[in-house]
Amino acid sequence: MRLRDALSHVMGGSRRRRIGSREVEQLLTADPDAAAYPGLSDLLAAAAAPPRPDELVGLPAALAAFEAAGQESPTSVAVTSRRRGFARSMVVKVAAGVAVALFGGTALAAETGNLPGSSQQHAHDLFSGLGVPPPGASPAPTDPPVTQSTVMPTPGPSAGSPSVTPGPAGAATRGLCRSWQARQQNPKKKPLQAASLQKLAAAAGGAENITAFCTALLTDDPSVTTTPGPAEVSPTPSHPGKGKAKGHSKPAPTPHKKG
Amino acid sequence: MDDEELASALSAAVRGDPGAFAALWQAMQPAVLRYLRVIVGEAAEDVASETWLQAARDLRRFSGAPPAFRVWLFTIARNRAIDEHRRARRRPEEPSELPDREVAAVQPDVAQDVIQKADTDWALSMIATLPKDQAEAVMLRVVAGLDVAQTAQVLGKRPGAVRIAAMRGLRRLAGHAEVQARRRAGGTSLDLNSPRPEGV
Repeated sequence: MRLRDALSHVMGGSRRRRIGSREVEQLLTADPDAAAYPGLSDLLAAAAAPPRPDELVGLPAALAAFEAAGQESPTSVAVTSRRRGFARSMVVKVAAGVAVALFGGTALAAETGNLPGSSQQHAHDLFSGLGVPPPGASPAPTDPPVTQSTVMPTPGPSAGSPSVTPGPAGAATRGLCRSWQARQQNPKKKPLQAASLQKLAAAAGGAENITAFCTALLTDDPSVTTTPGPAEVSPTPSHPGKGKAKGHSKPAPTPHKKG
Repeated sequence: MDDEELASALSAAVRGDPGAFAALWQAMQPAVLRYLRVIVGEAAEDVASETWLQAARDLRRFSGAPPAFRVWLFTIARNRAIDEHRRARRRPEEPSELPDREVAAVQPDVAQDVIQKADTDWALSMIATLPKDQAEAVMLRVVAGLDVAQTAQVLGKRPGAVRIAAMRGLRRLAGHAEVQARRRAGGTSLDLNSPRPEGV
């Protein structure tokens, strides 16, 4: 029966016509004129409803990747110094080539450490800056600086994050937290300014902790919640669950849809 | 987040500001995740995090305004989703009966959340029944808030094709018995004049 109703509603309805391109645009952009298709409007509204907390997972990993990407500059330094190492070994080879011309092959032998002891020592004295090993040294380490420079000490990204301090930082932080939470509930709410967000992240000991920090701060701290807190920055109701900002926010889509 | 706010967060994030990056994430993640839920189902969360990993890596090289950023981000999401499809095809008949997401595992006490969640889940599952090109067009238009040209850019199609896909998708949804049935069951006062958030 219901199906039949539905069909007749769609197809045979007196005032209902087939969705045309204008209606499509109205529906897709949530134009009020799309009211002619209430079921569909509701569906689209639900698909675009404000985010839920469980959809906002994964920020820590994304942030870590973002910060790691920011630290790639040391890598490029390492690359250049590796290049420098390469250039350096080229210098050795060119020098060796010159020496070949001059000394008829002794220098080449010297570079690879294959001269008799005294000559090798001599070559080392001459070319030590260019990596000719002293006698006795194995021929291998022609280019020690390379390995050294690739092991750049990378500054720890966020080694010591400050511990969570829910203390009397109180009103302002709680205000930020409210904005954060309201924003999480409703994407139409103003997001925090980058500066505020940083403040909040600092208070929480990292941006990835903000949600947990705010939950703790706003629920678990009766001493703080008793303060009237006029300094609150929050332009939004502290009760996002009922969130119904007048004006542009959509009147809660729920009441007519229990099903 | 309107374009002005998005623009300032975007430029700060491009300069490497983690707080701004978090703000971008917060603004865009829900839409990315819902889009992916429609096109890759259960794998959506994984694909969303892959999307953000790539965005995090490449964002400093991004230049452009917020609309271009949305296109950029959803293109990444779509490419990662295509990768996921390839992987899934290669996977030998894996039992895909993952347990349903635990409903209301987070903040279970707010009844309204649960209702709303059910609504959104239902809506996304309905859209997911559409042929893929239609589902994508509808999601990018409605949830991601892209216009026809931007949607076409993400999908690599002509705008005309996007328009048609969206129209067919909506017609099909409007005619879907469940949509009608649900609407009737839903009761009387339909606040049809409520504007939806036009994406993010």
